[in-house]
Amino acid sequence: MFISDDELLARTRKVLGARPAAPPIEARAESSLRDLGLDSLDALGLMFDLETEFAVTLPESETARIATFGDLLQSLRSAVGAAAPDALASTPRSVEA
Amino acid sequence: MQRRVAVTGLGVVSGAGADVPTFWANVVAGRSCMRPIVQVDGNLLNRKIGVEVASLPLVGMDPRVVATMDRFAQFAAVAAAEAVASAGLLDAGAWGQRSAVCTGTSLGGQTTQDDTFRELYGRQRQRVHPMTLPRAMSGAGAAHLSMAYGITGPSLTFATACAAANYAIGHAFWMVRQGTVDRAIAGGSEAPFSYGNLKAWEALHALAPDSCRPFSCDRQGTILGEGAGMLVLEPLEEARARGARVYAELVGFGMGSDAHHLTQPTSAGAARAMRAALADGGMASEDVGYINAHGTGTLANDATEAEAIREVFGARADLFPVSSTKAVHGHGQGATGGFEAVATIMALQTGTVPPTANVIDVDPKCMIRVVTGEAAHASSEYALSNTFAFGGMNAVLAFRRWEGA
Repeated sequence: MFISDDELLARTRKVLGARPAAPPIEARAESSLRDLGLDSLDALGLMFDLETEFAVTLPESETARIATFGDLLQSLRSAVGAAAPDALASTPRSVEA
Repeated sequence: MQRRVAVTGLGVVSGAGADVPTFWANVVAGRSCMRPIVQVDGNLLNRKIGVEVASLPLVGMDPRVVATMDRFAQFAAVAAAEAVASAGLLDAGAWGQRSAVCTGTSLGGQTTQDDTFRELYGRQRQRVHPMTLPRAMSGAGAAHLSMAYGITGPSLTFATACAAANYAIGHAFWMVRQGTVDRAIAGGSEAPFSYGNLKAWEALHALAPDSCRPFSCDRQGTILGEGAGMLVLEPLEEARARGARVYAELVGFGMGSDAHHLTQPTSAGAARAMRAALADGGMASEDVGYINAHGTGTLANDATEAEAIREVFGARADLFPVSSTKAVHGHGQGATGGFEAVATIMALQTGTVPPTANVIDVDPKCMIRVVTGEAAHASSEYALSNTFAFGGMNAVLAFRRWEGA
């Protein structure tokens, strides 16, 4: 199942917004995760939540280098794009239109 | 010179009440709060009843902090908030280095572990949430309380199973009594309603199919409860000097180990802990006017505990009242000593012994005076609260009614 860039962005923002503390600024590609109110463990927690949302696994080598919201979207793009359609279809999470 | 120690704060969250007044109203009425378990699908369980907390009052807590807490730590925070508020010690600066926090829990963050490892083993997920360890660690309850109140003195956690809260309260008591600290939050918390943990309990054959009936001849086991019970302790003189309300005096703490078996209790170990509490409090056995029993409702515990009481108190065991409040709030494991400390203090304060709920006929092998049916009047000066744990780890607290002198 194909996930468009718009959908990827919308769902990523939604997961970010659902965290206990809403980001103090709107997330843009150049926003650092720290500026979004995330310390290093918060950032890993967000990545974990996004892995759940998209039923993907971000490689360790990727998570270590993600510093900005743009980096995060890029890693997700690559993971989601690489995921087999079947894997996405079978995820227990609803895949929104 | 040892200092006298006052209990100046009480807090509880349980399926029998998320505050002390509601909890005590249910306990003193002998109103069993067992319900079908909802946190785990009942179709998957052979033992389907428990005493769960329906809604957790997390009002006023930072959601970012709450998100980092397992349910057992959330319970500790909620009960401690009530205890600290009732002690009038909410001000910033009320705690600090001369204060301590001691918590008990049997298994700590079981819920986090269960949820996490289901993903790992069941759904072949390759990673777990980065906060899994700090959420699940048994010391998380104490850590959160230390951060919430700025307690920079000792933070201790006891993992002595179903006696853990009494170990925590007892050690905090000793620290205050000997002058190591001037204030302490102490108690226990537990969140046992996760699938894996319930299956572990089922496998032990210690859970009752329908009802918890401590000391009853037809008892078939215990039922689990969840939540937390917390006390605030401080030197009596300081409490009086600041005009604090004193709920009771904590006068003695005793421990004893069976050194025998992981699950089969001995009366000698329980008796040893009761005698140690009496000796620690400088009490004679004649002083005791009420025992809040461990009274789990299992065949082994109740008979052994009755025998131990008989060993320590001799023929007087026919005379003074004993009750177990577990049929009301469930067996809270690491929390249960906290629940029962609150119940024991309220019993002393009100001169009312809560009944043992659900008893049909007292087992004739339990040769003690079990209060059943309705609460009994008893203006006792001293009371014991017993907790005995798997592993043969026994801890008993001795409280004294406070009358203003």
